Amino acid sequence: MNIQRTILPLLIVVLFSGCSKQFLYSIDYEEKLVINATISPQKGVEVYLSKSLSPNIQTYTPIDSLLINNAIINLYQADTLLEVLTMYGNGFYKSKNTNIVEKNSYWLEVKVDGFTDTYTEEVVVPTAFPLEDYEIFFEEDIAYLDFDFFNSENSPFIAINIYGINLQGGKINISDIYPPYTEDVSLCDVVKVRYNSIFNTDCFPYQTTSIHGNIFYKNGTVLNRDESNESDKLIVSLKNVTQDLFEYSKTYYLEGGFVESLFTEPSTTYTNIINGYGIFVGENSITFEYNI
Amino acid sequence: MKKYILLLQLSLITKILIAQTITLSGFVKDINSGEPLINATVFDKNENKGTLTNEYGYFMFTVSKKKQNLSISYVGYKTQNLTLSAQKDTTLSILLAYNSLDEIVVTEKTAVSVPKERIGIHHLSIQQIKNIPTLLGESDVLKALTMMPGVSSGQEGTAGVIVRGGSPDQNLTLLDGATVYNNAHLLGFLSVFNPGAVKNVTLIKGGFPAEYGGRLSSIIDVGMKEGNLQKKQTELTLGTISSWIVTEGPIKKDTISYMLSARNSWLGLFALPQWFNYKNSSSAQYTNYWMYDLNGKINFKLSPTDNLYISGFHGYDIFQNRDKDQNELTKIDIGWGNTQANLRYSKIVKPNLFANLTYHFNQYKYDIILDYEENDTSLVTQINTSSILDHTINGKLTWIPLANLHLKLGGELKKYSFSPSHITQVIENVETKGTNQVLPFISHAMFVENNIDFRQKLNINLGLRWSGFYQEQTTFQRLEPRLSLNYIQPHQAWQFNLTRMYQPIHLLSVSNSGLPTDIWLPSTANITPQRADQIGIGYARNILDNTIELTTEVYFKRMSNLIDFKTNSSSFFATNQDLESLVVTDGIGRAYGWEFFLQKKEGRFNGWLGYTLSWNNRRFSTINNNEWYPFRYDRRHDLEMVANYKLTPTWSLSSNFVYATGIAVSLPDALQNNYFNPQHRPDYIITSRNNQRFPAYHRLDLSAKKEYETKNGRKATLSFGIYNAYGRRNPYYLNFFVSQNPDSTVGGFKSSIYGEAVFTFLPFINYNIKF
Repeated sequence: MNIQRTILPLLIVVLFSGCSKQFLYSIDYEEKLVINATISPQKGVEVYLSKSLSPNIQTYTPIDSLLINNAIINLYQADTLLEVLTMYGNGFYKSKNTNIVEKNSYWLEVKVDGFTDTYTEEVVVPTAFPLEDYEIFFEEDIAYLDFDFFNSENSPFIAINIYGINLQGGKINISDIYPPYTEDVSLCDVVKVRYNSIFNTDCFPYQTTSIHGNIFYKNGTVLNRDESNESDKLIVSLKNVTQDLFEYSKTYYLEGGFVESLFTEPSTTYTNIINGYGIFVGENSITFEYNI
Repeated sequence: MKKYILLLQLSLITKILIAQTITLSGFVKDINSGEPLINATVFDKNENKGTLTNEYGYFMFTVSKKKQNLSISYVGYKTQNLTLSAQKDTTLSILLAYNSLDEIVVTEKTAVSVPKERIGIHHLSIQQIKNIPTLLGESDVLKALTMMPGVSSGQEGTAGVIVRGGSPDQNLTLLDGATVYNNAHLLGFLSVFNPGAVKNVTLIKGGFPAEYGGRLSSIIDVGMKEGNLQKKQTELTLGTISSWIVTEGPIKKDTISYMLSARNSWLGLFALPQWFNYKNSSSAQYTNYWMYDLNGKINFKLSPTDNLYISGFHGYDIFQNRDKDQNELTKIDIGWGNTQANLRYSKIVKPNLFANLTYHFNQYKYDIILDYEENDTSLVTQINTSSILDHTINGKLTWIPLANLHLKLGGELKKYSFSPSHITQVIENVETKGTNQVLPFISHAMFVENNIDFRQKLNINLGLRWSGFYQEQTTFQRLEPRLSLNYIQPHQAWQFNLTRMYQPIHLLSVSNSGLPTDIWLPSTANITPQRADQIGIGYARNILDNTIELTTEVYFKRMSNLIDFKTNSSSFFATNQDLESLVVTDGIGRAYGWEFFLQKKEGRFNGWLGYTLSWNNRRFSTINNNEWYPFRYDRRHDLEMVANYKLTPTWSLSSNFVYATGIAVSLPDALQNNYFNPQHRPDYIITSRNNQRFPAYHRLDLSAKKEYETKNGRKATLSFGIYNAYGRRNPYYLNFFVSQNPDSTVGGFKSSIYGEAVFTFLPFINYNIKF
C-alpha cells in the first residue's frame, strides 16, 4: 500500500467532498512515432512501430489504429545503409539479410508520412552471454535452475527471461530468481518486468558467479498469448543486454506508468529515440526450451 | 600639512553640526497592554526624517534643536502627533491606542518618510493579517504573507510559502525565536500560527541581517503576544474550519502577565455521526481528523529593565481511518506535530544597550501506524516514525552608542538530533525493527552587525556571520557576509543588498504540500550545506502626498548544493533505506525577477497591489540530462491585490484578488506502446521533469465585517464573505487514467486528464468577541 497515494487523496475527498469539483483538463500534445526495437545476433533487428496517443483523447481508440505499417525503416552501421527492414503487418518490421555482429554498433532511421523523421541512437550489440555451466531439472511442478557464468566488462547488464507457452492455465512464479551473493548487495539493482529480471553491473562483480531459480509453472493463468498455439514449453533466455534496456525498464515500470499527483515525483521514462518515443535495445542471448 | 589642516577643519565643522543637534530616544508601547510596538514609525515632519522602533519598541535618532514636530504611527493604531521644543537629548515614552470602532480614520498626510528597512522586508501587524480574507475566512499568517510580492503559495489551499524561488524548507520560520519545522496544519490548509496569539510578523526575503541564518530564502519571524500587564482580556473566534480562544492579563498588575491560547478544528465533530455508525456496525468505514494547538506565555517584569519570558507551543494533527471488509479491518493512524519550549531573558542594560538570552527546545515528529486485522487479530502492523529535535541557546547584544550607529553582536549554539526514518513491522507477532538511524548534528553561529547612518542619507548595514556545522564524520565552517546600502532622500530611497546564506539541514519532500511524511536530514560528508548568494537592487518612493508607498526591486539569486530525490526514488516506504542513496546532491538553482509593491496603509480606503515577474530554474546532473528545467514553483507572473474599505464606523468591506502562473509539474507527454508488450495496451510516458504546467491560478475573495458592541458592552466582530467568488476551478491536483472500452467487440482505449478543484465559491462566516 502506498500511503501517500491512498490516504491523503482519501482525506481530501472526505474533508472536502462537498466542495470538490472535477473538470477535464487539456495539456499540450504532439503526436510522435514510438519505436520499440531489438537488435541481436540471434534474431537480427525486430521493430514494433506505432504512433503515440494523446493523453487528452476522449474517444476510444483501437490499438490497431496506432500501429504503423507504411514506414520505411533503414538499418545503418555508421553512415552505411545496410538494409531496409521488411514489414510483416501489425506494426512489425524485421531485418532479413543483415548478419548482426557483436561489438558492432547500429542505428535505425524511420520515415513515415506526416511525422518528423525519427532516429535511434547508436547501439553496440553486446557480446555473447558468458555461460560457463548450467543445470535445469524438473520435479513435479517445479523447475530448478542453476546457471554459472563469468561476468566481465563486456556484459554489465544481464537479463533473464523466463516464460511458458500454452501452460493450460499454468503459472510461472519467477520471484525466486535472485542475484548471486555480492559483498554489497545494496548496490545490486534488479528490475523485474513481466517475465524478465534485469540485473545491473554491481550484481556481478566481475567473477564467476551463479543465478539460481525455482520455477513453479502450473496452476495459474496462460502466458504469452502470442504463441498460444504451440505446445507446453518452458523457455529460459539468458541475455547480455545494453544499459538502455535496464534504464528503460527501471524508469518505465518502477512507477507502473504512474502519473503526476500531489504526493510523489513521477518517473521520467528513459528513451534513446530522437524525435520520438520508445527504446532501441541490443541483446545477445542463449535460449533453452523444454517441453513440459 | 594641508591635509591635516583640512581634517581639522572637517572635525570642527562636524562638532559644530553635532552641537546643533540633539538625540531623541524612547519606547513606543500599546496603551492598553503595555506591549512594545515593533517597527512603529517615529518621524519628524519638520526635518522629513525618522526611524523605526526595534524589537524592544525602542527608537533613537537625531534632530535639530529647533522645534520638533513628531508623528508616531503604527498600522491599526491612532497616529500620535507630538510637538516638542527639546534643546537637549530627550527620552520619550509614547503610548499608542488601537483604532476604536466608532471612528473612521480619515486620510491625512501622514508625512511618513521612506523607512530604512522597507525593501526586501515586510512587517505585518496582526490587524493587517486579520483583514485579509483567506481560505474559508480563516485569518492565516502564512497565507497573508503570500499576498506580498516575491512570495507565493504552493498551490490551492496549501500553506507552503515560496519566497523568491526557494522551496518551502528554505524558509526559516520562527515562533518567538524558536524554529518551527513544520508550519502546516490540516495538510497545509492552515498554518500552525493561531492568529489570536500572534502579535506581529516580519518577512525578510532579501538583504538579510547577519543575526539571521540557517536557511537560504527567507526569514518568517512570528512574535507571540506577551500578555496584557494592565487588564484581563479574552477573545473568542468561531470560524468555519476552526475556532480559537485567547486569554491574557496580569497575574500581578504591571509585573507578571500571561497569555494562553487554544485552537481546535471542527472537522472531528463533523465526523462524529460517522463514528457512531461505525461503532454500531451500520457503516464499514470511518475517517476522522483532529487538529489542535496550544500557546502559552508568561511574562515576568522583574524590574523596569529586566524581563523574563517563558513560553511554549504545542500543535498536533491526528488522522484516523478504519475500513472494514467482513472480518478484515484496516486501521490507519497518523499523528504529527511540533512542540516548543522557550525561555527568554531580556535586559535593558542601559537605555541604549539591550541584552537578550534565550533557550529553545523544538521537536517535530510524526508517527504513522498501519494495522491490518483479521477476526480481531492483528496480522500486520507497520509503524513509521521520523523526528527532528533541537536544543538551542542564543544570546544577542544590541548597542546604540550613537543615534546613527546601531551594533548587534551575538551567537547561537544548536544541538540537533535527527531520526529521519524508523520503520517497525510486526507480522503475525514477529517484530522486525528497521534501522533507527539517529544522526546527531551541532551547529553554531556568531555574528556582528553594524548599522550606520551617514547624515540620515546613507544607511549601511554591514554584517558577518560565521557558521559551523559538526557531524560525526565531517565539519563545515562557513562565512556569510551581508551588506545592505540604503541611500535615502526625502520621500524616496535606493537600496542595494548582497548576501550569502548557508543552510545545513535539508528536507526530503515529495510534495511541498504540508504532508507529515517530509523528512529532515543534516548535512553529511556526502550532502554539503546548501548555499545561496543573492543580490538585490531596489527603489522606494512615497507618492501622492505620502499616502502611497511604492517599492520596486530586482533580484538575482544563485543556489548550489541543492538536493532532491533522484528520479524514481521518492517512494515513501523506501525511507528505511540509506537515505543518502535516494537523493541527488549536486543541484544548482537560479532565481531572478522583478517585484513591484504599491501600498496605502492609512485611510478609509487602504490596501496594496503587488506584482512579481520571475524565473526560477534548477539543474541536477542526473535529472533531465543535466539541463536546466523549471522549478515546481517557477511562476512567471504573480499578482496580488488587497483592498479594504471602511464603509461606516461599524461596517467595512474587504476583497483580495490573486493571479499566478500555474506551477510546473511532471505530466505525461503521451501514451505509447511499450517495449515489453508493444501491440497491447498503451501506457503514459513522461519525458522530463516539470514538463507541463497547471492552469493559471486566480480567484477573488470578498468579505464584509461588522464591528459592534454587544448589549453588555463587549466588542464583537461578525465577518462573512465568499472565498473564490467567481468559482474559478483551481486544481488541487491533476490526475490521469486510461480506460478500456467496456465493449470488447469494439475495443480501444481513451485517456482522461482531470483536475480536482476543492475550493470553488465557498461562503464563510466568522464571529469574534472580546470580553
